Amino acid sequence: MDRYAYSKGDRLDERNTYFYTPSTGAGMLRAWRASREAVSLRLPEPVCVPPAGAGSLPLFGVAIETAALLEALFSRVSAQEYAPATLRWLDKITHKFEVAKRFHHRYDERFRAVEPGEYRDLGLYIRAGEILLLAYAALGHLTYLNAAMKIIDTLCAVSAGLDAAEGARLSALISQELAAVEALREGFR
Amino acid sequence: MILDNVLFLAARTARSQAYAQAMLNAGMSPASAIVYGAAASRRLGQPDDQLQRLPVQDLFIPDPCEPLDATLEKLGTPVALLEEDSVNSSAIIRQLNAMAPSLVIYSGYGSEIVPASLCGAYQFLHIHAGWLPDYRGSTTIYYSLLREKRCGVSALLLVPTIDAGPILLRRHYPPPPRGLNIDYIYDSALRADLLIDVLKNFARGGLEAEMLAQAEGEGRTYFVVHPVLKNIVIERLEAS
Repeated sequence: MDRYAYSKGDRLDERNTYFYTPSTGAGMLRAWRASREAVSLRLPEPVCVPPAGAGSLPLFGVAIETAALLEALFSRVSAQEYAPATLRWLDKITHKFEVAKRFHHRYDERFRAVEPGEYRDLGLYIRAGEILLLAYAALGHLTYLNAAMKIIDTLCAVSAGLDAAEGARLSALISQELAAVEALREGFR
Repeated sequence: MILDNVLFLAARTARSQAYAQAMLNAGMSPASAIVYGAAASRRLGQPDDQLQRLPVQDLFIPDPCEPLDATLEKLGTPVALLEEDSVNSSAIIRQLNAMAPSLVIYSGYGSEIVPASLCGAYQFLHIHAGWLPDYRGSTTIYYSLLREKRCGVSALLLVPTIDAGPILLRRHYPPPPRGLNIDYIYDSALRADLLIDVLKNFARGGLEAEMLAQAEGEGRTYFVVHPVLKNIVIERLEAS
């Protein structure tokens, strides 16, 4: 049986590139599912955490606090409000994670990390995963699912470092991800 | 037919092998070539036993085992071999400037960005394995198969923004047959097929008449496909 390697090791330090991944078809899918189920078994029951508030989305081209940005974005996607600014921020966080495979606490006005050595706030990754899976469910853009799955790989790799509340949220993410992939697979048959 | 003042700028990749073999198959050869990168290139993540050359109707399928240098020798193209592994290297830029081509057939490494100074100075022809402007970015062949159950390929001239230059030609293609490697063979074969048609147009009188500008903000930009999404496609093709 294939081994799913993308959520093993510390993927925050040793980041996945996903270049030229194996083409083994059903074997890879089985290995991925088994890996996710094994992580889920070690986690608490799934819990979804609602938005903390409906804060404003930041303007573009100004310095941002990532947690505040993600909370504001999460409130929008939870309410199914996909205004142009929401869509633009969704694409920006997708791009940021796809390129860097990390989130940082703060970004400057050019959306560059203010403290590049600080990237281990797992709450940011969980919230970003929640946002992207909700956006995928609402809009169907594979770019969101693709990034969410990579975020979940990263979280699974470091899941031993999650507290109970974070673990419950990762558990919920994995459930939603498995369902989304199965639906996509069924639709593609 | 020798393509006057056309330069083939080729990294040592499966795609470059496909382009060279397709040109040989079509009876066309670039006036000159620059081949760059280490001679012993690596095929990341793919065992050789997957690289079978299966036939596809109406499509030239390259031989992944034929070295690039051997094909270029058959073409009779004068080749400058450079050890540099980036199109940004000063040696490559110097060589390009010395040749001053009217068209560059570009086949670089996957993550390379051609510097704006080169895009501005020369016409860099790039063949993108996605229907533009809908599918910009990386590994779009898989996203297109997932969304539309078909592949798209676009020929464009490079500008500093990724996959945003004027489109010269686009075509849709069917999914690959069962067992044919996508990353190294089918993707390269589709690009090579469209390349030949663009070169035929070029030989007949240039490229300008064909150009279709892309509007800013059109389409979506995709990033390297997650292995699960990729293997949903592979699983489906294997079952077909």
